[in-house]
Amino acid sequence: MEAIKVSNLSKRYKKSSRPSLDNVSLDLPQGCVLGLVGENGAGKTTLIKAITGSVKFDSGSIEVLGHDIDAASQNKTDDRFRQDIGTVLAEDSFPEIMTAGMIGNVMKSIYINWDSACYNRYLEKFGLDSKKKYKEYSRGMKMKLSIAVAMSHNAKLLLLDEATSGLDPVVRDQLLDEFNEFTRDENHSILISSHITSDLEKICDYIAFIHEGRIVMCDTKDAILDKYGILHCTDDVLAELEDGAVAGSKSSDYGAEALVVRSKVPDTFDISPVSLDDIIVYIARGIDNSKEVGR
Amino acid sequence: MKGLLIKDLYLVKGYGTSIILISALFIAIGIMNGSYAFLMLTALYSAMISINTMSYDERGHWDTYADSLPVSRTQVVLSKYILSFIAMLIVWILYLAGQTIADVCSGTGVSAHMLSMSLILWSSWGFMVALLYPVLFRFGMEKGRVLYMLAIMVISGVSGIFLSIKDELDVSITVSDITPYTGIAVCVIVLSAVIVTISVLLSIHFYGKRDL
Repeated sequence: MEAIKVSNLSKRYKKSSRPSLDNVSLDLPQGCVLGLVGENGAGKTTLIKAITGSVKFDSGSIEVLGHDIDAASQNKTDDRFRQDIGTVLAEDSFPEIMTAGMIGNVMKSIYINWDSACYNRYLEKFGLDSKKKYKEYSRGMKMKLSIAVAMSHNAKLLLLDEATSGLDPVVRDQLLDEFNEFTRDENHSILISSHITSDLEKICDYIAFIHEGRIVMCDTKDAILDKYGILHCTDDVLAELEDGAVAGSKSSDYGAEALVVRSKVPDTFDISPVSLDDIIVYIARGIDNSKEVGR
Repeated sequence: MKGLLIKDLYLVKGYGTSIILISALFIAIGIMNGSYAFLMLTALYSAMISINTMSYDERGHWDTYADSLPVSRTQVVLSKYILSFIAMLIVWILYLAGQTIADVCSGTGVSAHMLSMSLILWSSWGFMVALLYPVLFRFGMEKGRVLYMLAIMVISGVSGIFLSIKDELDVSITVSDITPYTGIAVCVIVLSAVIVTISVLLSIHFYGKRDL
């Protein structure tokens, strides 16, 4: 069963020159972690907001935990399935004068399965003062509070939008451990968006790369890392490779560096392992270059 | 819904003391002067309580976050109307208590003036809520602020007109004096209820269609 199934989703904001989401399709199998990666403005947040129902999409469909999200009739949908979803948004989520203690009391009346003891444990673990106002928290503390809320009502699905961005490495590592712990249960799934690809490499089973509103690549993390490699050579050698071998490249006075599809490059070449970060950068650059050539 | 109301009560709690004090002051002045204007201001204040919570919500991006919670947008809208209604109810009770004490102390007995004042209080609240809330749910606090300020100016102007004619009011009227006007009173109440209902439906419609 899929925790999330997005099919042919499109969304264009008024006054926008291009669609924020253009025929996007992706699946998150239950028990897995899917990382949504892309540059700023690529459409990651819009996709997550469409899944939560905040953004009305123009066409396509979304299924979350077996429940259809009907964006056109937000008020008529059965909201009970949202009991099983925990969300962390990139921006602030709570009114500034509320304290963690107040937020816990509010959530107790919203979530049927709210676990106050679990919430208090998280507050203690994250070092969050329950009497401190939300506006007095640092960004890291705000994120920790959102995560404490998301993980204190026995959610089956976490939607995390840039949950680790802007945080120091120690805090990020701490949060990634929490996410890893969460996915030990095979019914638990996570959709996490980030442009910190090193975080995604640590916890994701699947990676979806979104660029200018389109899903450019979506596969298992291992398959993506196995598929590509970095080749250092001259521009002439690069030009002689078969069509589709080069996903993206950059040239300098010292030669060329290219992201290549390993299966399309002769074994005689020495191809280096590649990071997810490099793959994203080169593919985005390749798409942008091909657009410029086409003009 | 309960969670949303608890959240709003927490937000109101921050400035709750000042709300009660200012409302009590306006009510006292209104009763002493027999002035409609000050009571209309307390009605405005009741309508503004929910607007203040909307402002906090928008600044803290709570609206967007609430979409991911097991609460519908209809519940979000209704919670704002209910909060304002509760505030108005408290103001009205404060007024009734204040007016009764004033009437008893002056030895005139409970006057029918209380009924006309109550009608003005409730209908002022109804019109303000009906006018302002759909605009704010449609455009948000940021964009709706100009219209909101415009509405405040109109309401203040109307209050001023009432203030200028206060001397002509007869605060010593009795229940028997106004009995023939019961029909009008019922019409005012029904009209207020109808426009508030339309306002709620419009707010639900507008808010349901917004991208947050």
